[in-house]
Amino acid sequence: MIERACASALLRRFACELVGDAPPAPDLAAHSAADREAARLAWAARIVDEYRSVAVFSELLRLLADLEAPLPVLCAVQRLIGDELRHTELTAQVVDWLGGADDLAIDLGDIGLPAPEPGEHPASRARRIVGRELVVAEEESIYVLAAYRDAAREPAICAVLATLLADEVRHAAAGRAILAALGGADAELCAEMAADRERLRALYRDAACSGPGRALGACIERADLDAMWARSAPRALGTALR
Amino acid sequence: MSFHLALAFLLWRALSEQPEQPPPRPRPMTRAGTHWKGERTEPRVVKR
Repeated sequence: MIERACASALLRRFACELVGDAPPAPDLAAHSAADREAARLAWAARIVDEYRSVAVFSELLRLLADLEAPLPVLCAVQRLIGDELRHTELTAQVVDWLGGADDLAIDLGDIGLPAPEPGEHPASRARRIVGRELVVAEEESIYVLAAYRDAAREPAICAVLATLLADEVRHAAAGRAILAALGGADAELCAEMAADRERLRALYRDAACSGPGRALGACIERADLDAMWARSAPRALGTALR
Repeated sequence: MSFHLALAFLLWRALSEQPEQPPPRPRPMTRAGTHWKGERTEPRVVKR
């Protein structure tokens, strides 16, 4: 797990500017111990998911910088990395509310994507990251986040899920714009993206199996997800449900 | 003798039978990554 504190006031100021003030910790004593524990583990896993995006989008920024991508594209990806760092801190704060992570080993090392395949051109690699991780993965997470946010009942938790959702909507939209700026997806990438989307939906469907911690954002039911998938296109979903 | 054998058999069976373990619950996810060839998949959050 990364250190979230730092002795340097200057560096702390950078973190404060990016993350903002920590929301006050809610009183979660009304929730059962089982609910809180399930939520603590679920939110600890979210730290990993958000931090993975920091590593993945950082590789994308490096690729795009080397390829001399347009400034607005570089700015957009730089902003996405900041958002994911902020999400990492937000999810870690929720874990703190739920009892902390002192007894958890959270492995964030070497979390980026595997090395490029031999002969893979940097432009092709960049398009694959944008298509798979931004257009597909961020877009699919919109439905799931909306379902978890609607299922949650604890206001502070709902607010964190709403923040994540608002950012993912923008990330998915940015992904489509960046992919277009890079020349779009060829047939091979389109097929890869379609396979990713199918796999992600199956993964989310399997994970939507009820359980403890629903009010704290730790679980949803299949029906929650089906309703969200049936509802709307992701951009409209994010806007309408915000 | 046969009584003791039967008793021993029943005891052995009772002790050797493992209680059926429920399959592990899939973890809740809101931002699953697409899986890239060679990407690590083992759990990264473990209780110490």
